[in-house]
Amino acid sequence: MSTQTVRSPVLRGYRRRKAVLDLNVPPCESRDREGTSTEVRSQEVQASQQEQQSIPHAPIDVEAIDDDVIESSPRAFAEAKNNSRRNRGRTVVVDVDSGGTTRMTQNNRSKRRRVPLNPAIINCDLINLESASNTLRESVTTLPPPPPPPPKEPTFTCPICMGPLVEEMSTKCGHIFCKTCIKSAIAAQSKCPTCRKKVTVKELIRVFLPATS
Amino acid sequence: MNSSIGVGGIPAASWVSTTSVSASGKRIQREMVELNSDPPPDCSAGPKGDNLYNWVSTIIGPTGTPYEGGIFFLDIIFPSDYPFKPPKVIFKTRIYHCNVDSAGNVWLDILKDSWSPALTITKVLLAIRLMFTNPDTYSPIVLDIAHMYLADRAKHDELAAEWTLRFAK
Repeated sequence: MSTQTVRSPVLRGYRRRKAVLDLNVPPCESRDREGTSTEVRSQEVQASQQEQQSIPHAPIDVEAIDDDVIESSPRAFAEAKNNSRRNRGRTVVVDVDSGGTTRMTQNNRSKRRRVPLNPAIINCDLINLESASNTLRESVTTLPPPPPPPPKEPTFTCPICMGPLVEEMSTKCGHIFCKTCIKSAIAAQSKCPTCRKKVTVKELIRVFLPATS
Repeated sequence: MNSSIGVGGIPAASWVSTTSVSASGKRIQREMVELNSDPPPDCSAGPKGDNLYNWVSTIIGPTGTPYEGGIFFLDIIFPSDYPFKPPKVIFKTRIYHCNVDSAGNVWLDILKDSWSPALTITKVLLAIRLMFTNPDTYSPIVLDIAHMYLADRAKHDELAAEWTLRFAK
């Protein structure tokens, strides 16, 4: 037991480093490890369970899923791959390989845009997209994702009059008010109404906010 | 007391001529809408009658304080040059608190020198509510109460609860 505890961190460190380097190897390697040390295994399972839980939450973007899996440890990859064998539908993790190919095809596509499109490449893309959407549908049925927040139109109001900005001007500290509002505020007390920094009328800058629509 | 404030749209200071009185009225109306749509916890406020510049507000004593369960009435008087000058807030219900004098005047920094036109009545009410839970003993207006709070907190809380029971319930 004592030798195990001494040895295992070194081993783990080594394995981890190695695992990070080649991402396509892990499944068999992790099983190797599971055989060698029970302690490591239990930790591993815990870690992988945590990561497994996070997988269904993965965003809709295929590339984001791709990134997630690569960034997270290869253990999650192995675990999820095992899982996917049990549960056919969930093939999120397999996308590590296919994700690479999709990226390549995307690159290809962008390069070949001007040339007549190769139908084979389009098909490939479609298949990948479909598989991605299938996995998404799987995750929808298992865990309903939070509803996407409706895009909110930014509206800017003056903190002083609480109305729409009229001839907006910025203080040197970057806070924006109506021209008349900030001038009156400085006349009353020469402090920025928002952050209380010392400001003067001379230092005011006329700013032009972009249209919101 | 109100002579220097100019309630009801009568300009009190000469420089007010640069801003129209209706600007302050508009702002107060907007604050009223905001307050009605999203009122701070345990607080309410609104115009007393037809006069937009004269409000009445209630704050319920926060739980866990000696003011718990009390309903405290406050008068809020907006100056005609609001929001460039702070509103005047006066407790109409007697309260045992080191930052409220015997006339009911609230001695809060944001209602005096630290006022900013970006502050709103909502924020003022929140500050007063925070004052219930955290009295400012560093700048008290009633020294005896502040001393009591620091020296004998139990006695202070007992007295404050007694006042709450007698005047605010």
